[in-house]
Amino acid sequence: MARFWMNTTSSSIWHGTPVGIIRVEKELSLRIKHEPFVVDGSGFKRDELRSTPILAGQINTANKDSFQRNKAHGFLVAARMYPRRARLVKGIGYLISSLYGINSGLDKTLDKSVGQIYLLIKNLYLRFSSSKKRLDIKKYVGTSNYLARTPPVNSPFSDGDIIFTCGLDWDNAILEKISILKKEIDLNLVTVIYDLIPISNPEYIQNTRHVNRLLGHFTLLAQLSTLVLVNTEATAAEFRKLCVQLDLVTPEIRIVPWGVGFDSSLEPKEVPGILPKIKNNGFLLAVGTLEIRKNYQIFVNIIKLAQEKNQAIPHFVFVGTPGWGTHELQIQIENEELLQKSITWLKSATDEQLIWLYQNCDALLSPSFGEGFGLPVAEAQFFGKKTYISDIPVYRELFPDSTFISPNDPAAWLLAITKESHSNLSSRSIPDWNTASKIVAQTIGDFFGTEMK
Amino acid sequence: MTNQKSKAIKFLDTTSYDFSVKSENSPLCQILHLIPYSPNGPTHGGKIRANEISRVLARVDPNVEVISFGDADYKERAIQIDLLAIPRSLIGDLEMLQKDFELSSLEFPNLKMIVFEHPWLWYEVKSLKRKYPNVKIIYSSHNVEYQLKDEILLKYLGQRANSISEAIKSIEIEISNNVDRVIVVSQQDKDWYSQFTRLDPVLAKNGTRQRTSILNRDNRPIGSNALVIGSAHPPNIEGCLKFLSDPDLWLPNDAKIIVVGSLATALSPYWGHLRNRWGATCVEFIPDIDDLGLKELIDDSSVILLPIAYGGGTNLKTAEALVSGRPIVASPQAFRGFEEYLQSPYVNIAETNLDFKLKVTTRLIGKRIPSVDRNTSKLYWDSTLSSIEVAIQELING
Repeated sequence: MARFWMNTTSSSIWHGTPVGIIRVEKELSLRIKHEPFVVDGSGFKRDELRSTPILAGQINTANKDSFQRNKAHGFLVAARMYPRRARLVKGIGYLISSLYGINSGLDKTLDKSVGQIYLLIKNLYLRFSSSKKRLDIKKYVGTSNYLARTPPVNSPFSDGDIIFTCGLDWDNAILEKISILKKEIDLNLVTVIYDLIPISNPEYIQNTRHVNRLLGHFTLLAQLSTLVLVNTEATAAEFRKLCVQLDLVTPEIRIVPWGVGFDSSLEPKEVPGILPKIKNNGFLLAVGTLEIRKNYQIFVNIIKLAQEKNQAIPHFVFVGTPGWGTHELQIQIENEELLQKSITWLKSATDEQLIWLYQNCDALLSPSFGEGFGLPVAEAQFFGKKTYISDIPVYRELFPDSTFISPNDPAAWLLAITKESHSNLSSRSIPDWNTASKIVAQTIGDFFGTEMK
Repeated sequence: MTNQKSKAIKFLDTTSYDFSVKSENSPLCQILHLIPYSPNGPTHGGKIRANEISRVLARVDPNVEVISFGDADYKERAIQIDLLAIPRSLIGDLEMLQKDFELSSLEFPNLKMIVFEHPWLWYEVKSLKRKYPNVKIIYSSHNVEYQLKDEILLKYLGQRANSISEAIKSIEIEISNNVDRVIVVSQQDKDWYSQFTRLDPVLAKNGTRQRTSILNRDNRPIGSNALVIGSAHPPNIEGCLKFLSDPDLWLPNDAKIIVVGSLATALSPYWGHLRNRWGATCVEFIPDIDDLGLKELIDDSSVILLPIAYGGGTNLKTAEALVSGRPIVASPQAFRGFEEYLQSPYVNIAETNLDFKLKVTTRLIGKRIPSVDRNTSKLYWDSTLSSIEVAIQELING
């Protein structure tokens, strides 16, 4: 009988808060019954994974079951992608990040300095690994018996098995390994496309190497996949268009929802010092990295337009790390008096603080030029908040209860946020993770004619 | 009998030139063809065009005298090409312009015409004209040089570029004002030169030779290769680095890019160490290849790539690619002068580097496409340069 395998590599080696794609992989792997497998693309061996405190902690809480079963099947150890020195540097980075986790209850200065050291090492590692030492799989091919032999001796798969992979597959060369396996074993591959922004709008991506890597990834995905899951018709249409461009037969596509929701044990926590700034006027929330694609520039335009028209507007709270291509905007926000008064920019926030912000904001604004999902919009709606979002196909499809405004029209945004009452939503259209996982399992099961739980 | 004479001259202690002539006294010579390329060193587009023009001249006058001027170290420098050293080599062109090769000391008692390639030998031509005032002069341009140099120099030298490109522009205008005919390679070049010439410039596009295949390779099961042929010329190097960047990340499995010509040497430091996502070599470099080998590579290729970043003139490798019948992916610049072939079968133009890679990927992962007939007979040198032969006959016959 065909077995259902799920690749949990990304969440197994992830060292930060499980957000975005990692969150999807983690939540689905916890709820859908599967045989787990891990492709070791990080350069760490199995024992190293277990002995690294943060990683072990994550595995224990998020993937304990999977991890135990992995031991029974043995890992699909498939890659040693990083040269030895880079691994060492990365190891130090992980070690310090562990220290950072342990010391997180200590005073803020210490946390910050440890965090900065970690970031410094991480950046050095990234610079070092991208410019000096490129990935050298050949080294691995020479030493491992996995890729070098045909058929691969360590593969636990059999003909007809279903392999589901939904992580950061382009980073771990998952599909490349599977492409080799598929030459020998009749595997059914189920993949996920979160968005095709790097292909459809490469101008929003800072790193051209990332765009090139994703072009290779999506090409291979289109060639290998039996079934592709997406979460919007807009993304499905983009993928069909890509397949036409590549002159490939489009694999079967199914649209499934991703879930939303916070851990119910988390208590909301007020952001220190924020209330005096808001001054009882309420505030509008924007969540996401300050990068070009997110279109934070429009907030500055809205504020200046309001000043010209002598119109009162609510305070803005931004939650997001500084991103690429917005350096001047960042300086402007932090130094112009009008913007200092009008905007509170939180470069980081805990989950508890984020919950407080969602609960207490008047509405969420997302003027983004392009999105695959728009998690902050889903989260704001999870808390019943009104959402003002850009008029892009993905948002139209996912969040029909929102107010849609052109991302290029500050006057329309000003009008909307000053004229409309920010009444809370009575219902939300995005399911929680339990429901979403059931739909994903059922969709895959229906497609292959097999029962999935 | 002819005496072999060669000179090597040190100039500004930076570059040495050599040139050779058959004889110091050529009583039969009616046409003198001056080529600013070393007889040594790698073949490139300009050199091929110059040689083809020599063949045309030889049809008019079998005693045509061809004098090649070249940087004696050209071959060595070409294999150590470094993008940062490019401005220096371009300034070398201006040094050649200023150099006195003493051509006027040679005797050509029956000389009727001088044809010179590129503007860099203009002062030599002027001195010969003073000696032989009735001689007709034809300037064979390869680009609007100042525009090309301007692009390159602006990129590498910033402010200094203005004075250098202005100097080149004034030389090109002076030449256009004073010669009997100007030969141009594209309509755009013709439009520019015609502002300054008495007679309409002679349009002679770049072409190609007909290559004969030994084997019919269309039915052979072969790997998927994308072929790039080119010299180590900045628009070629930068075009590859722009349109084909990170080949290790996006090239499909079992596919590779093959770089042929001195471009291979130039790109090797950038791509030489790359392995694709399956651990295999994904770029192959072939700096030197004979005609037969090149024909085989062309026939074996899944697609021919023309990733030219900028520049003027028309590219003879575009003509070559069109004649080959193989699928083509090209930048818009590569089809300047070949616009009528834009709608030909399997000619794909890509404006952005992502689109370029998408189109290359499509050809590499798809079923191999048999060579197509693009009705390209007029792209052969005999056809593209026929206007030159006519113009020369007219001038000689008065």
